[in-house]
Amino acid sequence: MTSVSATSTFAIDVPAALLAEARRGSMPAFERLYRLFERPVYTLALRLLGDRDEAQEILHDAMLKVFQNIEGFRGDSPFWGWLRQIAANEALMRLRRRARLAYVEDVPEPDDDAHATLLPPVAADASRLVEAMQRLPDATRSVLWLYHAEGYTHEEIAGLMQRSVSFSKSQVARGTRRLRQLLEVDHATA
Amino acid sequence: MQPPDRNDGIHRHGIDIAEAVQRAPLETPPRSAWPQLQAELARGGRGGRVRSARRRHWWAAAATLLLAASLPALLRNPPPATQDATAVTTTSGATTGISIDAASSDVAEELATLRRESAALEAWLAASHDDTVISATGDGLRLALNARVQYVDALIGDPQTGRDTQLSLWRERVLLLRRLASIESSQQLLAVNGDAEGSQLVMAF
Repeated sequence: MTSVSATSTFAIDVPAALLAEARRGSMPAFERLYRLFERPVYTLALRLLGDRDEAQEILHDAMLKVFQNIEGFRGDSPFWGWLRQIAANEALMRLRRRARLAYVEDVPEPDDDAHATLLPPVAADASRLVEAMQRLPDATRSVLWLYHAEGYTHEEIAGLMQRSVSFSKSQVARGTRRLRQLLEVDHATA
Repeated sequence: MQPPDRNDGIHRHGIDIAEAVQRAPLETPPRSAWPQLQAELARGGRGGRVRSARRRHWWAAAATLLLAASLPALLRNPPPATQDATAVTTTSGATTGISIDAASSDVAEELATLRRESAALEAWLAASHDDTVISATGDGLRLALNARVQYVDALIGDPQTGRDTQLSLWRERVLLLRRLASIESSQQLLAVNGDAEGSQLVMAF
């Protein structure tokens, strides 16, 4: 299950020679890989968990897992997709351990709005957008980020989160609507 | 699709959510994790195999203990049944093997059923939990059960866990959530009768 969406911040081509070195256990190669993916891993963890300390821990745990298992990476999909999968799994496992992902009914949300995927122009301000996303429930924020920022499909998200495809779809619709409301209120009160 | 009004992707009615979230800049961690990683990798040997193997043994032991501990509960309250994956007896009395595809489909179906029940139970627990209704006995059980749910979740999330073990773990998760739901409803019923503190919850646990 590896999405190869080029929109992902993980979409970094890793030279085959560097991967070969890492497979041989070269510490400089590990360090190079760490430097390449440090910020994408940390950002993904932070967006899913909403907590800097926990994101820092995920950065460590995910990278360690990657390096410990790099010999098992088959290379039939991009390295970054494999690494991202490990990082997402680690973050979601932490969410489950922390408080269990809040359940919201798996009812598909109707697209009752012609501009269902549009947010108010204020969303172009990244800090406002991130702040509003922080106010979403963990599960909703995670699905929204995985879908829109990382380009995962609903099927892939369902697998990652151990839920149904309709759960993923409903969270995207619900999260978009809620985000729009939050940003509209912010905009009106600004 | 409506064409953008401006070349920066912002439409007349707003900005597309995918575009908005992709504009969010990458975050930088407050400190580098590399020094610690380097130390651990150096300690564990190439690829940290020592730690990795130890962790696998720990997971395996944990899974065995967990399944052993829950066996009595599984026997008392069997989860949704699936067909025997190895053989079935047909109406004519002949025994025949089930194809791997059919068995795999059954497993997927049961997993989906268990996940649905698990989610529904979690929803019920989240909506029903009342912090004002507590008893020492009930809270102790609840804490113990919640710890086991978290334990199961960690095992479910482990990529090393095979499909059959996943199924057993999901069955266990549903059983644990059912018990949590049972505690919750008992506590609330006793509270209504003014007997929350002195209640004696007898759980099959």
